[in-house]
Amino acid sequence: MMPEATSAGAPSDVFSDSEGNPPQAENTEDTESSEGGDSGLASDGGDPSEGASEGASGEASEGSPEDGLEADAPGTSAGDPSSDAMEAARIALEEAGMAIGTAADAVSSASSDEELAAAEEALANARVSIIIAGQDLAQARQVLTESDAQGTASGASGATGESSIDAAEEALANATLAIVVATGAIMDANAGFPDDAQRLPSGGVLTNMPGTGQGSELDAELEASLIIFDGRIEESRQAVLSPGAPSTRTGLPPRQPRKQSGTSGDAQEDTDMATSADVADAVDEQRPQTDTQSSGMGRGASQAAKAAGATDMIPDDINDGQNDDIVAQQLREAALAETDVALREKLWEEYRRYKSGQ
Amino acid sequence: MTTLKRLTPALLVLACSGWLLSACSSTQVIKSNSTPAISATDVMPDNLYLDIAILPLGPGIPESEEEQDKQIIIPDVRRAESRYIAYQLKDTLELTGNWGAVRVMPAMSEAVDLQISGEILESNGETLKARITATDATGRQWVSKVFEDNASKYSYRASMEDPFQDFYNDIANALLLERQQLKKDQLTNLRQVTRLKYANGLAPDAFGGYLTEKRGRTSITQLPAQNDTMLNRVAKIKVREDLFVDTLDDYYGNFYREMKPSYNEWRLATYDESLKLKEMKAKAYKAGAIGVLSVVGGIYGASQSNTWAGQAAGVAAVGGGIMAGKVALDRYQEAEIHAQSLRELSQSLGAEITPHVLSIEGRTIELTGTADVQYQEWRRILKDIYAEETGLPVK
Repeated sequence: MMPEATSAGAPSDVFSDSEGNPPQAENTEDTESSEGGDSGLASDGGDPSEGASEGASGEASEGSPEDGLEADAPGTSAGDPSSDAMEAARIALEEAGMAIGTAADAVSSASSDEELAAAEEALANARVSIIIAGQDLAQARQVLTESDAQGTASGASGATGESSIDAAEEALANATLAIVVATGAIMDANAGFPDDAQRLPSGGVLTNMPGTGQGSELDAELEASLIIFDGRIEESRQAVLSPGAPSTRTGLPPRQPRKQSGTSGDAQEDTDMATSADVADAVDEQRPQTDTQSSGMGRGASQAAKAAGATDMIPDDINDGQNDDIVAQQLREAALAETDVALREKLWEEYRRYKSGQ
Repeated sequence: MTTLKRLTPALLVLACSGWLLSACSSTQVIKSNSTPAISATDVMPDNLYLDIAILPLGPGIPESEEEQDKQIIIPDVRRAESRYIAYQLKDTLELTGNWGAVRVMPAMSEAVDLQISGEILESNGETLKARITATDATGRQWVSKVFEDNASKYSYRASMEDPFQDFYNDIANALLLERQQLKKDQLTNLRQVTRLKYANGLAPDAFGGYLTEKRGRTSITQLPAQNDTMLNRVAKIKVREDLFVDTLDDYYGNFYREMKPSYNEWRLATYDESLKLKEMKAKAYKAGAIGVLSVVGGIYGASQSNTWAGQAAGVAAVGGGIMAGKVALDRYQEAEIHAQSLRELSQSLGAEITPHVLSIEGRTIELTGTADVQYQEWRRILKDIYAEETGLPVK
């Protein structure tokens, strides 16, 4: 159940040195052996940027996965389909690494709500770039397999390429987990804690000892399990929403029952008889508003897209995105927000490929 | 005296017929929903609005198939109604604005202030009757009574409103009445008990000493520190619990919306058939009773009369009674036709709804199972954290 990253120690252990500093590009050994200390992932509502930046940047700095692809393809040559595919995957991985680095910088330097929102957007873009890189890797693997089957690639290059792709995919998976952890830390920072927990008068007898290393690991384990549960709940919510429903949540917002009830209660002023009065429709109308207000990751990209006159940049063959799932939505928003023409076209290409593969 | 004696059988028949007419005359209920749900005008702090969990009502399905057939109950329809009614009640309570989060849940939960459960006693197009019980986190029972509403044609004409909205409004008002009797400190105490019960469920080693139970009532013995880190961890899990509950509630919401059109059609159709069935049964009963009385009275009168006229009257009464008996049989047959029509309507709805019922049951079981496994893991982690932080042995 637990993610692979945590089996090697808490994510904070992986992505920080003993002083809680984010790792430098060459300090890959240090990131693996750190104690973790008090730089855990916002386990006590602390600064989420520390854990988030460490999580987001750690994998990018752990030796860029694209290096393996570049170095381990000796048997390939320019013009060879497998070579082209590997080159495309390498470029995508490089871009993913840059996006992750940008996200890490944004998260580590965030000190206000606006900067946190920008950090969320950067994390969303990083996730999109990871998705694209993952698809390029899958494409490269397929081409390599076909080349092997046709006998056009040498056995050594085929095996080497496969192992490079495996390593790259594992690195991307760890990077995805780190982004999820970082996002969760930001959401927890935004959520805060229920008011009534803070209003309880003092007088308890429980004395909390300072966190030891194992305690921090347990907290990190708790954090990771919470985030995994978030993902499962999100999947379940996807199953609930109908195809024609408004955009789904891309993040898990704090639950504010009074606002939902209060919003439902706005209708009460019209009637003293609390009729059902298309209550289901009223609730449906309210939910997307709540979702829009609460959604984290896609919001910044959406706003940027609007500012850029997004509608003019949608190719004619692209639909209105009503039935998009989270991945397609993120690809779409990333494409709309992209100012570079070539990259934008590539993102639309990935969007088309993803949609056709559904 | 002789005359009176001769006339007695006829008078007897007439008197009984009159009594039967008055007793068995059918009157159609002409009323629309007339009980408004009350929204409290007093403004409370947000943290004092109580969260409510509504469990799907017990379907009230008789065990024997014979009884099910007699009451014209289709099990799948009843199971669907148990969820539909729960969700309709949730909507009503939410719209009043008197409460916090109101959600339909498949099982009891420690995370809510007030739990509502019940059992369907009767449900068709004409009548909705159920026993509703509401109990708060301290164990105090707020409400335990039978609520009932009868629909009319006017109820079905108000297309935007549930034909049995009065039923739901009555329940909402009963709950509000109970809540208004609680002072703010009592509401605060209730909310605290809920939070501590939830925390105790997750980390009994850490929070077991804060609550005590006596005679079925839970009370607080002491409160944890305001900055209690274990409580903060529980609070994080609570956020996920709330999301989980929201998801389950969405499942029920989807189910509610999916079954609503067919269910409304079924209710209107069965409303008409129910009325006709009642009418036919009443007419058949009347005709049968008159027939019996006429036959008995006629035979008695003929036996007592020593005149040709008297005996002729007796024979005529017997003949009339036999005719009335035949009419009664015809009415019963017509009633059976309407009963059969009701069965067919219900079976048709049942066939349509069954896939949705199975779907909601499967999804809630799956999601609940996932959550159960996750909760076990969280309990284990919190237990380990407690042991690590305090150095105390865990139970």
